[in-house]
Amino acid sequence: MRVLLAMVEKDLLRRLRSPLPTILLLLFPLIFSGLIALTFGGAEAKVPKVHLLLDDRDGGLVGRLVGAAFSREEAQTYFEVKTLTAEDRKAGDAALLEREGATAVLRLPASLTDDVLAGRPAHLELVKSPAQSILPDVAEQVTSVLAEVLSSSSRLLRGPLDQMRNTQATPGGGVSDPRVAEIAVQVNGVVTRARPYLLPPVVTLDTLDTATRSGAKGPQGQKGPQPKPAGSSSTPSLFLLFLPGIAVYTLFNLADQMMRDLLIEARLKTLRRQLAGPLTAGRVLAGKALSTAAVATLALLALTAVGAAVAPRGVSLAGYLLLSFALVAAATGYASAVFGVARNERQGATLANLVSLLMAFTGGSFIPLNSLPAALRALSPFSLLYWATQGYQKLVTEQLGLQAVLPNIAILAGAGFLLLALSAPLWQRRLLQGELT
Amino acid sequence: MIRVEALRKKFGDKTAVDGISFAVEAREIYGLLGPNGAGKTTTLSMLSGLLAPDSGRITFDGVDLARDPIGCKRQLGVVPQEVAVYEELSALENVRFWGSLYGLSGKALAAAAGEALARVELTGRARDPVKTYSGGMKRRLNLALGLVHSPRAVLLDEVTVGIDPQARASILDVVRAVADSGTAVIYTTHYLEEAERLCDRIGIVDHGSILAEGTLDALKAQLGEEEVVTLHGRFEADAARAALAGLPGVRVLSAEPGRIAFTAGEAGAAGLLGDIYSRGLAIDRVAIEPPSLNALFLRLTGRELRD
Repeated sequence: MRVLLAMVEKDLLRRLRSPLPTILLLLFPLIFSGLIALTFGGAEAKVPKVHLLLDDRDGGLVGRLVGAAFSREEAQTYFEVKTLTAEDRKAGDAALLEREGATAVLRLPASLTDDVLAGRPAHLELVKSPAQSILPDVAEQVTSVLAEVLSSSSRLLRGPLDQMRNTQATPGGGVSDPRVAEIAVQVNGVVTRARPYLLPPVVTLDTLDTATRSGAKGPQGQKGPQPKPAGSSSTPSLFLLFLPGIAVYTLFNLADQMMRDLLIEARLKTLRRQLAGPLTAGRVLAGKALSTAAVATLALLALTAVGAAVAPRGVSLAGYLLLSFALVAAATGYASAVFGVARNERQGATLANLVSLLMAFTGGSFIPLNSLPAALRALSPFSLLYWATQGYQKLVTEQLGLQAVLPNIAILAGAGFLLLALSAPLWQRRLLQGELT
Repeated sequence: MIRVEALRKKFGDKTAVDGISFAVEAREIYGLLGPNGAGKTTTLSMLSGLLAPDSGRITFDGVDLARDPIGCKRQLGVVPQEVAVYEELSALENVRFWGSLYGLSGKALAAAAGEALARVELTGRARDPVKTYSGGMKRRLNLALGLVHSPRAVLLDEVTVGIDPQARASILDVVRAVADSGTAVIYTTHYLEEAERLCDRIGIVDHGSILAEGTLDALKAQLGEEEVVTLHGRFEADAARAALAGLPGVRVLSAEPGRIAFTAGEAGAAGLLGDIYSRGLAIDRVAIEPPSLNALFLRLTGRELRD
């Protein structure tokens, strides 16, 4: 163990004496995330809101439900809704959009409630602002989800809706308490039975939410978003939104650098000298893997210190520590595998860049997962960066606990140790056959 | 202390080491003398456990290297041809690191590190980064790293390549002192003067084999009192051979365009030169060498050591 510690100390000292490459690498996620935040509105940039003009010509039950949907606390983070008055309507859509600086006008037809209750086709109308680029698309997606919800509800709740329609149509409008209770029980029964299949994807806004809550709808098959704990209602900043993914990518690059050092030591002949000493090839490899883990841990601490300054309070410490340990293991194992198969430094560096970039893109490190084509999204679970990024986003952005990231921890740590185990014989063979000496 | 028996190593079709055997005792410096590519470094690589021999046996104090590589290597110090040090670190940090690999720690490590640096006269610059050192200083540090754990045997592979005469002399003094302290030393070089000055016994190596072995005097005695004559001029090798043919006592050692080397026999060089000139050979320069390692090497291999 003392020998291994000496090897780690030596590698840390070498990094300390030539710190520039490591510092530049560590600055990358901070600069990149900072630039994104600045580009979209300053260091404290908030997620831009969709400014929606609601033209409710229905005025009935369904129209009010739609209006209420946008008024929920969760939706308010992303939507700002103004209901148009009769006076506003006179201006026309284009003028309204320009005057209000709005993203879109959502028009609910006059017969919406009747049509939904009767099971007839109903059409929502969305007029997008040509002056904005991304947000109108967001509005369109949400509206389409809303339409799905209404359609599904109309079909699922056919029985109770018919009863409600009949009740509404009754002259005098009187309805007894037992009748209300009967309809409520029917609605509750349908909703309870259908909840596992339909409610998670349609009732919540997680499709829009993915930039900050992509873990909620990822390929892990986990449950939808959970309510935020009290006191954590702060709007997620863009800096914090991108930092975990890019920090994870950086950490993998740092691990690459460290394992690449084994090939550099082969070139410098210090590796040959170590193997001429009383060391087995396995111990030399273990020493470098430990050094890699140590440097990655220190880098993670530095990035954590920066992240802690902007992150909300109440992040699960146990979850964070275990996820970080698993991430270090994964990055070390990955780097060991990549450089274990590479014939030389240059080949290793090229391969490492290629693989880590691929994993970063498919893992949502640079681009939110919901912005990726479905084909790429299907590859996400094969990316170690996906599990790490999602894990940190769950802990930091969604404020979830250790239990929520246990799958991430298991997969990262498992993959890390498996890759180390698989690459060790490769290294040993190369070291013993004199390929590196 | 070190015993090498019938060591062989092939790389593909090329035989790098072809049945080398020798033994080195404590306090002895054994020189492996030969040109580049003779098989010296391959032999040392096998001795230091970096390469497995195809056949043959290496023992340290009777312990087979193949059976107990870690135990054997713990007694061994290796100083490679290349300056294998960490340039970002200081000399002290380097020495401490390499010492710790051999199990030293605490006060023992500190003392050993200080002693090793003092031995190569680097104490005054011990805390400076190695990248600020001159080539000679790096070479001295390279040597110190192989000595820090006070090994019972040291393998030194061309450790004076590319340094100035003063630094070379300093290194040779250290090597002599190490041997005098009881360590067995194997020293490879292609510098004749070093081998002559430093080594107690010398093995002349070429094409993976030891062609001759013994003390300097014993090796010179193999050559007898014959002078080696080398003619340089404007001639073809065959023409030069023809010109020397039939001269009494002459034995051609090597011939190539513009140069021919031969032993003059009892007649001596002076007695032959007149005959050679009279045979019309266009000679520009004549070199007459007394019996030496180079002359022996030339006689054994047909080429000069520096070739």
